[in-house]
Amino acid sequence: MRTQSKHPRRGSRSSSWRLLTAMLGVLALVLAACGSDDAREPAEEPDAVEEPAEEPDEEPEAAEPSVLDDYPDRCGTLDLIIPFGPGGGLDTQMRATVQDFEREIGISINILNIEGAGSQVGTVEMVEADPDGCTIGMVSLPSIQSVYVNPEREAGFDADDLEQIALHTADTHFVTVRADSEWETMQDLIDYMVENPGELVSSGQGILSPQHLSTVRFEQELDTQLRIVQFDGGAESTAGLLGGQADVTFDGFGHLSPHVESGDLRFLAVLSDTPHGDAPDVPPITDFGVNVVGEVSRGYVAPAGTPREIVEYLAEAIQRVTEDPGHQETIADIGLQIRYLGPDDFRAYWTPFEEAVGGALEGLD
Amino acid sequence: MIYLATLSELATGFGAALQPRFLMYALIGCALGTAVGVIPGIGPPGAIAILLPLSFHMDLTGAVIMLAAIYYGVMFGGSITSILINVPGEPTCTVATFDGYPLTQQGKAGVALTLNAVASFVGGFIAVMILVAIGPPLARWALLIGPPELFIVLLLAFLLVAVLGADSLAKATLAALLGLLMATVGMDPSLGVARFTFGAAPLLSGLSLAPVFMGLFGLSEVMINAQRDLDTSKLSTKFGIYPKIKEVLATGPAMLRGSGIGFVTGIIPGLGALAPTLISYAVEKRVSKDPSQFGKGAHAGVAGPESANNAGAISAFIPMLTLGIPGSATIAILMGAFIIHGVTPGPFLFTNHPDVVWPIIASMIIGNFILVVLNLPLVGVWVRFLRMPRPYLMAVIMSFMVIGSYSVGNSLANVWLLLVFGVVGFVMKKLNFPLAPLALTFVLGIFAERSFRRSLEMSDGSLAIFWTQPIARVGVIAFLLILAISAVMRIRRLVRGEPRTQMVDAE
Repeated sequence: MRTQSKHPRRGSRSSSWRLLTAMLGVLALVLAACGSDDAREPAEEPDAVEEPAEEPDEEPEAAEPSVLDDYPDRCGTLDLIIPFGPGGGLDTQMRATVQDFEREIGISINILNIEGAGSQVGTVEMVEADPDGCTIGMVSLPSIQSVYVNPEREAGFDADDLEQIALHTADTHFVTVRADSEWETMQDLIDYMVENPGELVSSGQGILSPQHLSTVRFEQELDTQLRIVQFDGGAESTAGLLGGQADVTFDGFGHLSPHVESGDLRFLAVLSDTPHGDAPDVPPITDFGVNVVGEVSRGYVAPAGTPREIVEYLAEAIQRVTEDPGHQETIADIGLQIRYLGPDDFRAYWTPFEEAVGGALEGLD
Repeated sequence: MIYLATLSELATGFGAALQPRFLMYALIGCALGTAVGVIPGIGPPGAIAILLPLSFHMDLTGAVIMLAAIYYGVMFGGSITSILINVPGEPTCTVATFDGYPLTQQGKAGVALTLNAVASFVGGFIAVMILVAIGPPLARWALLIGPPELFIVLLLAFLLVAVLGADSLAKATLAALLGLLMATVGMDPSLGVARFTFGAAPLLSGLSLAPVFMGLFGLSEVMINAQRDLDTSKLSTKFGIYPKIKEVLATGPAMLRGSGIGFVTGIIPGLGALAPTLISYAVEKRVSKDPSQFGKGAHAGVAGPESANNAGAISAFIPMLTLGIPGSATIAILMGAFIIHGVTPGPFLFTNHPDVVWPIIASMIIGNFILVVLNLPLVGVWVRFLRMPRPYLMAVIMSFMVIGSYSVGNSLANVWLLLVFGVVGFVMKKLNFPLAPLALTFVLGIFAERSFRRSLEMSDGSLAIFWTQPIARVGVIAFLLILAISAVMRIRRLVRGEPRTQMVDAE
């Protein structure tokens, strides 16, 4: 048997297998390409591509070509890098609203999920892209600051490598306990925490996650201690509170409100200086003399060096999106709040987080 | 009382799910899922993510029916390649290679594939029945499984390593330790310190499961095939007969056990789909009357894990539907589909949107049925595939795996992982090191460490927490008992001067 020829099936049979092999190889490439990014056709082509007239026709000197002349068309599609996996909060928000953005910016958007190391990998990819306005990224604050402020992370980028475009949404944290717990009001909880430092367990969503930072700043303000248990994300963290493994958690309205409505959890306070639009009865934490503002916000950035005109063009488009009632409704359905800030305001909003993260890092030991 | 009410709602759901439109979605989902599963490298996240945008234009029920069908279709399809060519189509279907492939080598591919199909259906059916009966309260109960309880359960699961090793406990232990070492790579879960990353950013989240498994089990197999001078006429391309009804029924207890194990582990958020299959395999080997058959084509070794696989896939939906807590990345994507349509899964989903949810649940049964009906005849087609000359087959498989690894996170780093672990797997296979213990400890080790660290965070550093929590305490006692009993039995054997029996009997 073994002395038989190694290729007993020569001829047409063999070449038809080769053809099949080649076809399968092509299929593999196609599937991988489709699987790796969101190469979909946009639902509707934008009706009119917006081309703001930058230069008046009559210029004394020869009219300079503006960077905006053929933007965004020259990009083909706009690559939007989401530094998290599909299905997460950032991703869901973007996919629910991407048509609004395509409409206002005037180009189809290609959503790329590049996940890893808590938004580090995806952001590095974005930063290294050409600053021609064809690649932008979505970030979550203060997660993004946690990435580059922490030297252990060896982030590979810092604030100077990014250009802020606009802030989009915010989700303020609520101090939340189980409904059957002994703390009826925020004051009850504060008193308990101060009298019993190091006893209560707080469920967290990950090291240096926004919730973690809120918790640490809360501890620092009250000069007390919590046992912080780091779960993996909001779902597990909420499960930890519901299941009794934790006593308190700091998280956003979207995650927690179904459980408050069902009577399992109770909001004690909101980490801001004004009440939350969807929960007006919940007192702001500042009422109790605690000065902590804790929230997760999401916005858009571009690689540093992207021309200012393009940044402003995108920012204005995003502003128009946030003013559209349909979009506002979608965001409200997800449980978030719109908070628009243009490029300069966004930068001003951004920088204090670096300090906050630094302070929390020290507070970790 | 509650049960009766839900039965009638389920019946209404069936009525809706049997509409031609929804049947078609289920059919498409099953077909697509099977295809995606069969192809190594393309996984459910990729497939579901592609189709998610399409689903925006569909109604929510139809979309979820199709996406869910893809999900459990993939579980099924992945087993097919595992059985036929020893290359897992999905990491979750790795266990099917342990006994499925030997059956193929004996010319009994048909037996393995049929058992696979039946076990899959049984697992899914039982899971849906339990879901309907006590799903919501069960999800609440699952919340009580906190880090301490989970850690003890995983510790018990580690004991199964002893069962999984083939001939040498020493080799099995080494493999297990290597798996644990691999589990530590990445950012420390509690302190954020980078471990074993060698400065490589992609490694910060740890070794990515899919490329590692594809390398260890798939690429190594390709390499072994390349090494052999294969005469195609010597390949076992015989389909073999379908199994006898008696044989199928004999695996019934295994399927029941597998369904139970799969359901329970699937409902705990975060454990993933691979753990139930590994645990089921080890349990089947442990309770079997003839454990030496495992690894050589034991029927229970195919049936049990496949039931566990599918039951776990279904029960993974429960925390998402009833509490809004997605148990895995794929379920999170599915949850995204709900949210995008404006329906928030959670405590109110069943009361506020029964017309959305019940057809989905009914469709899970229908979909599982479609899977079996669709695939049993197709089995012959898959086996025909085997007749492709090995060089071409392996080339295609390898290209799929490489491209698939890249597509996990769009990163070349994962391709390197594939290649490195391909070599590791190859070496291990040649040296007769069992891969199963490594798989077990790698997958469970990550969860075990996290649970342990979190438990200590909860207790402020005190180990007593494993004793004070009642459920955990039971586990600790069980663990100590098992260790004590096996130690005693081994000592007795030594004292009596009996030869060292296979360690499987050592308990």
